Amino acid sequence: MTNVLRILLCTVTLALAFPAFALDGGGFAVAGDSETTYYEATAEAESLAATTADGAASGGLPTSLFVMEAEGAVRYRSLGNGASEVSLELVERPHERVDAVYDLVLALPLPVGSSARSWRIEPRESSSPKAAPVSYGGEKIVLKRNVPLEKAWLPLLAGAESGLPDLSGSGYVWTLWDTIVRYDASAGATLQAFATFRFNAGGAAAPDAGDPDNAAYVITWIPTLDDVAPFTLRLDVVEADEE
Amino acid sequence: MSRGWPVRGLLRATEMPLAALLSGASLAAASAPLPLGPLAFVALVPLLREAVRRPAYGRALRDGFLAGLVFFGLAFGWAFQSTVGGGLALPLAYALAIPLLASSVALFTLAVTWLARGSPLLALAAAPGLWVGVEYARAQEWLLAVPWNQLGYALADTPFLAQGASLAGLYGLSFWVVAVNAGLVALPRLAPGPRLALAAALALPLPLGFGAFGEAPREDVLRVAAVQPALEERERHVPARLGANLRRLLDLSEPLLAEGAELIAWPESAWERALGAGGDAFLAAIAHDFETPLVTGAWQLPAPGRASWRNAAVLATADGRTPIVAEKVHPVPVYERAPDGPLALALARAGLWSGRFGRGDARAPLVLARGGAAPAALGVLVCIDASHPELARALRVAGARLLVALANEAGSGAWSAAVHARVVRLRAIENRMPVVRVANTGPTLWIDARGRVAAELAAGAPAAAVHALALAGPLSPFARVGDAAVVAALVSSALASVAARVLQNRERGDS
Repeated sequence: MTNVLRILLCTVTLALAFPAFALDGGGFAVAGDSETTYYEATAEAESLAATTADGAASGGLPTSLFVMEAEGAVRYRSLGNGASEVSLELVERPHERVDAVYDLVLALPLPVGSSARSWRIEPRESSSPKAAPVSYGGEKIVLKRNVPLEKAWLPLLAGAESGLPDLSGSGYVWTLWDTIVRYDASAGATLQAFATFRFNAGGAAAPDAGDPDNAAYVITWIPTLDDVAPFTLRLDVVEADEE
Repeated sequence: MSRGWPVRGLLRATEMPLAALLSGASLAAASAPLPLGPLAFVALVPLLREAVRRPAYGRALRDGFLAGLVFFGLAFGWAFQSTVGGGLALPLAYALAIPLLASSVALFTLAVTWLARGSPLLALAAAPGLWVGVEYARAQEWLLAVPWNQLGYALADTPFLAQGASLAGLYGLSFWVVAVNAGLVALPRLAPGPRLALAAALALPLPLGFGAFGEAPREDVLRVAAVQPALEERERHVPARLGANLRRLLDLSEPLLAEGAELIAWPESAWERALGAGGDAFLAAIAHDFETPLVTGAWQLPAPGRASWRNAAVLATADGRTPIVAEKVHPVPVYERAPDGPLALALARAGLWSGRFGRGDARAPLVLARGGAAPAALGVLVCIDASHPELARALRVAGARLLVALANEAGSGAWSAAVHARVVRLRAIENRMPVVRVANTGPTLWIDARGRVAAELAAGAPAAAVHALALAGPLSPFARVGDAAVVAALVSSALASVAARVLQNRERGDS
């Protein structure tokens, strides 16, 4: 089955299952009912199955994403002397209530040729009430740049119809950062992230906030749902001084 | 006819069966995972003692068969604990295999009886070689492919007695065990001088046992983390349980990362996503997250042009690679192996053969990169492949300095798991190579190169730990020469047989 057909199938299934759904902070709110998340809906519609033959050929990597806009932002800021900082903020939102193991992947555009002392996005600890650490279901996480995953997955996603925008010619490239997380129902019902990453871009300009292709994506890849496009939140690039 | 005859006749009639029963039960007890292994040194005495009394051939055959039925019937009793296969597959396999295996003991007894007609002493001299020849043959694919319960394994839990395996391997140990049995039968027939010489010869391997007390070198060690999830068979490879099972593996693994593990090992088929030609990106992401290589059992999808699956092991590394590092060369017949012959295909059509895995190819050792130390070559074997000495030896000869044996055994039960634990201890001694046995339901063992259990996770409960093992040093004599012991045993039997026949013919000529 082609990816387009899979997406169509998911969409039709969702439409049939939830004729009155509405988007609300990343979840599907069913009129008069408690909020139902994307994965809750699709996990019911799709059978949990071992990898498909198609998936096996690509190492089980999904070839499309289910992208939704999220409240939050990505800000690029020059620190001078070629140093730059990117800050990520994902406003508190309901996370996917599926008892599963996830690979939480951040797709982040960085200038071509960027370097960094450590390719990690560490939780930011601060006394500021705004500075919540990168967290997922209550777990503080460290996102590590995963170059092997970039080599394997970006050729399938970058520029694909339901994948990531094509950044070629923009001076930026996609980088993937990930960590394995487990849903913890006892940790609360929300997902929240706040982190910064410093790198050296050799004075490259920040991405144009007006270009809709410039964004970061938070991908929740669940290996047990091979036929389901991973739920993905899109964080727009905003100007550094924008609040 | 006197009044005493019927009683004496009855006693005589039951004498052989009693000896057979006693031998069969003793062999089974020595082979069971109980602290009775050394019983093997006397287990065959009753049967051999009766065989050299030169009974009728039919009776020798019958009683050997009876001893074999008792031996193998009890020793494979774990089949009744087993939940694998389903339906009639396992009972059928048991019902077919036990008489076949018992036939091997019947043939052995018949041969000893035949040779005893020429010379009882030469028959006893031939007995160890005959036994080893039969044991070796039944383990081979071209015969029965049953590599369990060789007598040498009875000594594996007593490293002091098992060190001879580093010279002559499993079959060398079996040879020694049967030689002691035969010697005990022969001793009363010998004059004092030869008696002393024979006793001394039989005790020759004992000094090797002092090697079991030596300290393992500590200069080149590998810290291996082993994870024992203890998942029940009915919970494994159920699509709806995949996430929960993976969660348990991660929950057990992550605390080990702070303990300096250089390799994490998960059991046989613990990774429940089928592997295709492209490997598994999610497994690679886990290894990347761990920042530690991860070896795990996994099922491999049929490759193009190949009908059957493979029961394999994969190494996931932080650089995103997930190469296959082992394939099960000897899938368990009936419930695991894909039908590959006319009988198997007929049984499969009748619903009595449930296997779907093809025979895998033996793989070269994997090379594990280590920060700050030279890379280490490791061998990986899946499940009962560890019961085939030639596979572990081939890995050692190819450079492996530690063997990782992945097992499941959730379906075959605790008894079979304990039997397999014994088996890997002998692989360590044979090759002077440490072994980490990682079993789903345990026991999980860290075994040093002398067969001593350095650390253990008790069977039956989820657990995980990291322990260091000294990597293998020089090749053991067994690793260098392999099954020379089998050849020597067969040659010794052949020579004794020829001598017995010559003596028999000379006696006939004299009479």
